[in-house]
Amino acid sequence: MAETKKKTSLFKRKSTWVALLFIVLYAFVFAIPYIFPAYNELMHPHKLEIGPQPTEVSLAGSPLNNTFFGVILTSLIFIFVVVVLGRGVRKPGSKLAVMAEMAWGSVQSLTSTILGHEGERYEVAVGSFFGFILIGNLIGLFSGLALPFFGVSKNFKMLIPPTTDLAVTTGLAISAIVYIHTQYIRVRGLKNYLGHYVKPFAFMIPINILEEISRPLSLAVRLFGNLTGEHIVLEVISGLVPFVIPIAIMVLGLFTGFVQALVFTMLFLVYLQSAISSKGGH
Amino acid sequence: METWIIKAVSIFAGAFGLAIAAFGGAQGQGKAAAAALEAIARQPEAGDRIFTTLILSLALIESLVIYALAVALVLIFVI
Repeated sequence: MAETKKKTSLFKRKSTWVALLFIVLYAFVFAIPYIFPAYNELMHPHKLEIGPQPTEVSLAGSPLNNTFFGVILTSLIFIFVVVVLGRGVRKPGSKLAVMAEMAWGSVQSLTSTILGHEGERYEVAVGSFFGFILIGNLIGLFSGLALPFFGVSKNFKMLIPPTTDLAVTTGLAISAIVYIHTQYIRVRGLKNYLGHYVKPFAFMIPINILEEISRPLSLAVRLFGNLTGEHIVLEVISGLVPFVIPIAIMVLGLFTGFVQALVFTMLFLVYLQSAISSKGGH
Repeated sequence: METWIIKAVSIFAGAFGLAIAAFGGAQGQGKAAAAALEAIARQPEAGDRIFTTLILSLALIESLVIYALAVALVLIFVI
């Protein structure tokens, strides 16, 4: 009696049906490429090509990259976020005001831990670098998103994060380094700036110049390499199992994107500190 | 014939070199993280400063591995 009761109750349990549903769903997902051969072409059109890919959209005769659209989208999102938060500040006590104060407070605390009281005038630069790189990294979470609904072109399939392009990261690093050199001259004068190249001895000039060159190089390659590696892992995993499993890699990507934005900003602050501190050098 | 050999050797070199770099980087990062955890456990009120320094040093250690990754990418995809 009891055995038959158990047998009948097996299919009355909710968990049985949920498990069956998942099995059917998984079977369906794995069968899709065999049922519809066009599925692979639609979902994974890129055969693991790293970096930017040209699209069919062209400006003045030359095709535009995916990176171009990525940078524009990142800038638009960043400007939108800043404008919305800035409006919230004017209404004290609202949710937006609290969010804006939290974001700005974290930027302020990051700046003041490294620069101290001198850091107040550099908060805007720090916040801009951090925000742009963070949003640019997090766009990579939508990289599996095919964009047929844009209707722009057939080749404009995939949204790549702009920080997986070496050109973008080099641009960010060079702008950071130019800003740092400008601040060096502004704070400590042109004489000190030219003097720090010959600091221990005169024949150290090539080594000092090499050091100044290696800083933007390492900033750019670090950001590019980290984001590209994570992006490749995400693409490989979502090419193998395009269902549920990539979520784990995406969570890792959330963390990596945040940490890399933090690291870029922190190194920018450390270089800035070594440039403007009166003790000189590092 | 010769390009085939070059391609095979460069792919092998990329994977092998990245494995060596990841090994060394993991050793260094493990030591740094262990020391930082010990320091935070001993002195929790200095946690923020230690965490900042830890992230910086991890990034600087990681950058060498990332250089190896960049070289491996060039070896595998470009050559």
